[in-house]
Amino acid sequence: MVKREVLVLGCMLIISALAVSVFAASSDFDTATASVIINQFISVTLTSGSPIDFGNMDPGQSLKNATNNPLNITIGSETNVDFTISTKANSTTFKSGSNTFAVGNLNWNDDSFATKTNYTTSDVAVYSTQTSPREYSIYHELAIPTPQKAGDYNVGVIITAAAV
Amino acid sequence: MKKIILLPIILFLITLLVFSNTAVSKPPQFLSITLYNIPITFGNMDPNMTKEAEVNPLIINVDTNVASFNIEVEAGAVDFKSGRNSFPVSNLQWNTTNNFPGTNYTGVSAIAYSNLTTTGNYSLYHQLTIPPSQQAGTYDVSIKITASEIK
Repeated sequence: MVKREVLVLGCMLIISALAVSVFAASSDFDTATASVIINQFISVTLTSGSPIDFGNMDPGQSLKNATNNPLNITIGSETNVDFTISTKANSTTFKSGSNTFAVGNLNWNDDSFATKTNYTTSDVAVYSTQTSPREYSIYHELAIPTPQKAGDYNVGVIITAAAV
Repeated sequence: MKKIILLPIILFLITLLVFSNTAVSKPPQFLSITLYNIPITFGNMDPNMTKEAEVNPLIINVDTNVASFNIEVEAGAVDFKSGRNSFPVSNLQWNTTNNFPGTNYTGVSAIAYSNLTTTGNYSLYHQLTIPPSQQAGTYDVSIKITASEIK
């Protein structure tokens, strides 16, 4: 009989404690997710050697190096993908008014001493599957056909860095 | 026999009287927090780019009757993660006003608002900077906002 009374007393005390805990100090929290989509990114800048300049040349003059060789291309540290650097001309000819000569007279190579490759209007890889953002160089040389009318001749050169 | 039955009842009443001054005489205390403008999204970003959240600010709604409370913020991890790629959560900053630089998130709780006394909405602005060369991907991290009574 006494044990039962003690049990009743215990239950009452527990109920009292629970009642008190309802009034205890409080805190609450909520959560959120922060999210971002990071794009594939390549940064390319022509840092020196542009425009590619050959100064004065005579008709029939053999290959001459650009006066401001090399054309330096900086791939920025923001670049987060492997990439290939390629080059091409934006026209099949150098032009000076109505006068022209073939863009194939302009050659390139990443080695100043190696045999160079003729420009075309198709992309050609100069540096394939690169993994390190840094500075890259392209050397240029030009020959003038004979006969060729005098004038200031220009053609566009497009340097592209593309994700592999 | 009657004494034995009356004894626990008397003790129970005494117990209630002991707490009557602290509990029964006061309304129940409560503190509730709800977040709006979540998730905190930054959309598409390039490496080395800094941008504020697309929907700034995060709204923290607090409903309470406690005398005073703090609002604390912390990150659930030390890194934003996308598969095996990650960057530090400290690149995410918060501020109670739309002024940056603010405070870098860490895995440790930091007080954003202190000694608040009123129910209402509180703002938390966010800005994120992507490290250079960070691999492409969808990155996320969890953020925890806590309102705590000041005792």
